[in-house]
Order: sequence, then C-alpha cells, then structure tokens
Amino acid sequence: MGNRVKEYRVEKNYTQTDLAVAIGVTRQTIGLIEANKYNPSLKLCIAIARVLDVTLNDLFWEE
Amino acid sequence: MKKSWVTLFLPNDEYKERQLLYFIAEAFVLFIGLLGVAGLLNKTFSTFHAESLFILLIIAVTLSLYVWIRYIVSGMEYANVVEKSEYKIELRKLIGSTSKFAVLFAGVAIALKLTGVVDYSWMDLLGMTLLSYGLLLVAQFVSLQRSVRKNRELS
Repeated sequence: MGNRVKEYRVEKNYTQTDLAVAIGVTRQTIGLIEANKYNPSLKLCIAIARVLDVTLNDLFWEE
Repeated sequence: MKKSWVTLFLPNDEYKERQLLYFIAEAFVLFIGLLGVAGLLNKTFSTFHAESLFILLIIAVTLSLYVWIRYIVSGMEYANVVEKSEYKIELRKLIGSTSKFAVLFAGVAIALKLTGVVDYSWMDLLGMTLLSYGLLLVAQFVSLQRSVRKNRELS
C-alpha cells in the first residue's frame, strides 16, 4: 500500500525533521512511513493529516 | 492512551516503541525455550546440577543482551542523525558518555574492593573496566553507524 505523505510534505515545504518535530516522532519514523516500511497507528495518521492540513483519504487512500 | 505500566520504560516514538516491544516479546519466547532446555538438561544428565538461581541469572543476562543487540543492530537508536555535522556531535557525545560510564564502573569496582566486599586484583579491576568500556564503545559506535546509514537511506 502506497501513501502520499512525502508528496504533501514537500508541497507544504516541510522537511522530514519539521514534520517529525510537529507530531512528536523521530525523523526516521517519518522516513519509514514515506518509504512504506512502517504502518503508523491511526493516531499518528491523524496527527500527520492535521499538520499537513489534508484528509486521511488524501494521504492514504489509493484510487 | 497508555494501557500498560511497561510503557514507562519505552521510548515516546511510536516506531521505536513498537520495535522494542517486538524485541522484548522475542526475548520472552526465548526465555521459555531456554528454561525448557535447562529443565531437560537437569533431568537428563546427572552431572548437570547447576543452581536454579545461577541458571536464571545466565538466562536473564542472555535475554537482556539479546534485546540490547537487536536494538543496536536495528539502527534506530540515533533516529535523527543524518548530516555529517550531526554525526560528529553524536560521536563526541557517545565518547563522552561511554567514558563517564567507565569512570563510574571503575569507581564502584574500587569502592567494592576497598570495602572488602569483593576480592579481585587491581589487574582484574583494570581489565574489567577496559573490557566493559571497549565493548560499550564498540556497541554504541556500531549503533550510530547503522542508524546513520538507515536514516540516509530514508531521507
């Protein structure tokens, strides 16, 4: 399953570190999520969506 | 939402927390297996009569080492280190903290010797201190190297 976290992060001009600090995780965790090597909890998904100001569908739903 | 007291001992980062729980669960499964093997050895061989406490101590140390080595090899300890400048800062911190540990270790060992609690030679004391310092330094260095490599791959 893919996701569009990196795409929206770059669009908002956030670095991995910016996003990590904003949601209280490490930079490595953001990298793992973007590379589809870690499935975040719903709580973390919502935190990412809020910071990037998008919906969960935008980030994680595949057409 | 924290449901267990064990979360007090776990990192705040979700990925690290989950991975550590896996490592601890693996160690628990190994614990059951090792206890079974120790029990079988006790039953099967009349020459194998190790003290129960000694066996438990060996197993506890082995499992702690297992979790520690898995943590080091996983490359998640230094999860925010990517750039060379960050690497150099962490390396300096690592050498400093490991050296502090060695001084503390030697201090406790000397105190135990001087108060007569233990009776090992000064050479033994020096050897133990240097060995633990060396092992910890190598382990932390490997952890840093693996973390940086993993972080760079994910950047």
